Amino acid sequence: MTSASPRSLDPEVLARISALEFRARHIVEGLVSGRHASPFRGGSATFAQHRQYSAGDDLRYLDWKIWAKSDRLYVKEFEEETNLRATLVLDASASMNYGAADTNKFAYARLLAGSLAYLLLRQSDSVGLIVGDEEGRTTLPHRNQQGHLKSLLAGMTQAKPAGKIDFSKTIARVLDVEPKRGLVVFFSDFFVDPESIRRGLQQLRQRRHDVVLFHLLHDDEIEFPFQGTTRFESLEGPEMLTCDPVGLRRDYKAALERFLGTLRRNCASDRVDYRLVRTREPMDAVLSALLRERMRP
Amino acid sequence: MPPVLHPWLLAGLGLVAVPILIHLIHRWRFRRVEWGAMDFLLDSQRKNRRRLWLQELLLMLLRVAAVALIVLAVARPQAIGGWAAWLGASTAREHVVLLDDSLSMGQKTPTGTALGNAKAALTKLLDDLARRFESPTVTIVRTTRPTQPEFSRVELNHTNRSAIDTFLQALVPSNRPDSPAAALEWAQGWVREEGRTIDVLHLIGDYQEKDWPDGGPIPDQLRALANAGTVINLMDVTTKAEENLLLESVDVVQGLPVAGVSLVLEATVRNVSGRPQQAVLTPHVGHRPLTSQTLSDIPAGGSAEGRFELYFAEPGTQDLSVALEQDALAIDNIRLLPIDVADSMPVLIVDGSAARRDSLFLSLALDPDDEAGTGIAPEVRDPDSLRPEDLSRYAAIYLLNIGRLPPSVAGELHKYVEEGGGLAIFAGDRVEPERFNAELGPGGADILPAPVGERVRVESAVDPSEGDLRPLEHPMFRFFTKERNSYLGTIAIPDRIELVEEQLAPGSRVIARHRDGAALILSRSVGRGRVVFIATTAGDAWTSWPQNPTYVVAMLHLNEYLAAPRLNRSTSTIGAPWNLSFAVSEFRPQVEIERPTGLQSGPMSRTVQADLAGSTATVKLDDAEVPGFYRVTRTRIDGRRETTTRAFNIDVADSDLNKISADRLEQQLQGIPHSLQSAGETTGDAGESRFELKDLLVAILVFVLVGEQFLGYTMSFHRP
Repeated sequence: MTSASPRSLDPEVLARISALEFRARHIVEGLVSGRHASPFRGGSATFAQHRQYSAGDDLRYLDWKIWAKSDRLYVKEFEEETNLRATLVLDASASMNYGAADTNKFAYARLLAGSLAYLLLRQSDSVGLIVGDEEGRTTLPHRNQQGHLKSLLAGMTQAKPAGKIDFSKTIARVLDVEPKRGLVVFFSDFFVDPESIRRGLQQLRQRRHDVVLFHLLHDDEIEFPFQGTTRFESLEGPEMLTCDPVGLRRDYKAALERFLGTLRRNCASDRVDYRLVRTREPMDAVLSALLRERMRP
Repeated sequence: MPPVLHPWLLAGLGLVAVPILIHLIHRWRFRRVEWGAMDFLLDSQRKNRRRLWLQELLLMLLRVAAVALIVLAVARPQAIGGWAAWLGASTAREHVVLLDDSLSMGQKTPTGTALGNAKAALTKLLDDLARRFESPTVTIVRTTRPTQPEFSRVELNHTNRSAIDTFLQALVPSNRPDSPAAALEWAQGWVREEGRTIDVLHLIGDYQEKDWPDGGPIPDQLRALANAGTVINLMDVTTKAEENLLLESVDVVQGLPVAGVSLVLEATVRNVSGRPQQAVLTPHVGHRPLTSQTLSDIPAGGSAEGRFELYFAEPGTQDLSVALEQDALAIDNIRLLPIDVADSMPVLIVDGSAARRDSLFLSLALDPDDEAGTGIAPEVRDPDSLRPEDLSRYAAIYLLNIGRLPPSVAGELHKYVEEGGGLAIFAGDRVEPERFNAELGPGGADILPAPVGERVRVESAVDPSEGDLRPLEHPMFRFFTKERNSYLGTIAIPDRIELVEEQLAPGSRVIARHRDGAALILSRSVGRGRVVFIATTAGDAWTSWPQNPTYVVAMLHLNEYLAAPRLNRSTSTIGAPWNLSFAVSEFRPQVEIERPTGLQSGPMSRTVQADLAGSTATVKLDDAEVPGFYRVTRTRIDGRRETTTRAFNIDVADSDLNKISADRLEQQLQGIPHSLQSAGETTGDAGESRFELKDLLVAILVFVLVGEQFLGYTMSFHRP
């Protein structure tokens, strides 16, 4: 499956992420069972039993029918799927290979996905990995052991950006490996047909998946700061263009803005958590923002 | 195409290819970026393709235009005629004509004289001015009278035009040489000091090479006028350099103007044409021609001399002249020389030797006896008898063994020599070097060729045939230097005084040396006269020379040499003043002046009053414009009339008719906007209005460069 060539997460980032786990530990009942009020809501919640009301219990869970019949107060207890199944989808198309060093999109996506995987595994959630490319291949199934992190990181490391991503196939693969409700997190630049993105997200939402889109873009792709005669060679095909970038800048940015606007609107209408991330942004800030928003009551 | 000042610079228009090449190279040198968001880029490119193409094209056109404008601005094109007027050039109303009427304009050309051609060109010019311009004004200046315009800013109406035509009809070439430089200087002063505007300057002449030397003033003068906005129009009225011979000089070179004694006249002919020429010289005495002489193969640019021996039986003034055959320029083919033939030629011998022994030898040499007929009349005096007096009546003066001179006589000697007299000084035992040098050297009369030293005695030569006198090239020894003369070998000069050759005075040279190499005889030119110093005695006290046959010949030649300047001083150049002073105690102040009216016309006489200043009266003649003999007749108190004749000849400086070549003229005029009309093509074009486009091109260039910078910046071709 995976070779023993783990890439460790940045200790500093890990340290910051760990500090965010305080809320999760507070609401989880019992670390052993791993049952906790996860920030990522489980796919289902089934009735387990009644117990007598104690002061401080959430009044939302009072069984009013019993009170009506017996004039006694009882609260319902549910059996929740606290072992959340999270599927991380890592875009490994060639366009993700833009940027140098720490601002490289794929490197950033890999690190971001790895950080999130660690957080989820520490909370005993299951994490699986799909590396999205032309074939939509699956890299790793869902596991919730701590040691699975190394496998996940190794799998991300082995992936090399190449070719184009077939978003439809990738969605189909996600639905295939995760038929039940779960968390699907995309790490991609989404340089594909917007309609295929919309259809795919709709399919996921129909299965009631909690979908998060980390839309990763390099500053150059947003600002288009190039000057002087430049030959742009496509990372994903034979197209090339020699031009004066300044002359094209305005319309390029307008086209990009239209695309981003369409994506935002589609995500909003499908209640998909859309997050535009520049690869120069500090990663802990990105994750912190996600967790804070998710933990908001 | 408008005229261009530097047409050769238009080759620089090839540089317009440079921006195109740079643009192409720029396109080929690009930065490569592997890009992910290609779709957005292609979308933008599709929308902007046409606009970007137009921008690049415009940028390249601006750069090409900038290069072309720079090249054109440097080449300096001009708009002419209507275009010039539209652009703001003046309508060229003020015209100044500088008309060359110098001596050379009398040259004959295939179409008439050069001045005739100039008049025709000027007439055409005036016709053109009247036709093309509204109320033009004309100033006409003769180059020989640059400060006195013939016509100053006159409108070309009927009346003024008639006056100009009358002036032109009467105009004849001046007898003076001239260059347009003086007239151009006047024109510059007219513009500078009087604030006038000269729209067009027309320079009509024969464009002699001598007027356009390298580094001469005319190109700078024209440039200054052009920079002040004057259009320069050059009109050359001669097609080629006419072949010309001229008589440069006529001098008496041998003999004395004494009745019964022959004299030799030498005429120098110069060939200023481009090929060897033959000259036929004919001397005249009065109007009587003498035998001609032919000088063959005078080289181009060279000269040749012809000699004539003349003999006058009776004393009196003789009008001598020498003439050449007529050629392109007649005025320089005759040379005049008046000769006063005397009964005898007095010479003064001042002898300080004991018993006047030295003068005996000299007197006998100069005037052997009546039968020899040298014409020389020696007058021997003691040094103590000398007084300050007028020495001018003596043809030559000889100082023999002089110890000291009476006071102020030294000054009179200097004046005598300076005014053309000849002085010979012989050494002797009376000569005291210190006093001699003080009286006659630089601190005194300043007539010595070199300081004198002590007496020197030299042992006789071992070989008796080896003489002590070694003459050099000089008229005094002309019969001795051309071939070995056996008599020279017998001359012994055991005693002499030392001459400080290292301190030769200006104009001095050694003309004979002693056997031991020391300077023996020196010659010096002082003013118009001559001084010869002989470092031994005139008599036999220190030398055996007086007893040698060569002594007589040498002394006669020495006398000729000393007297020659006075013989040739009765000539002047046209335009030079002639002042004749005399004592009112000797002559009456009314004098009669006879002047020629032309070479073919008779003379004209008038009586004038001499200017009186104390006891001296002076007759001034400063307007001799016609070559010929001018005579001033004075009347003595006792009623006797005395006539002094002077010949005025032309200055031959203008006789070189060689023309400046077209290439040299253009080279000298490089950078000066001008038009040049060659002879035969003079259309009378008044010189159209011209507007130099340089400033306009530079203004356009500024806009083009600003536009290029702006467009380049917006297209990111200029990195911040």
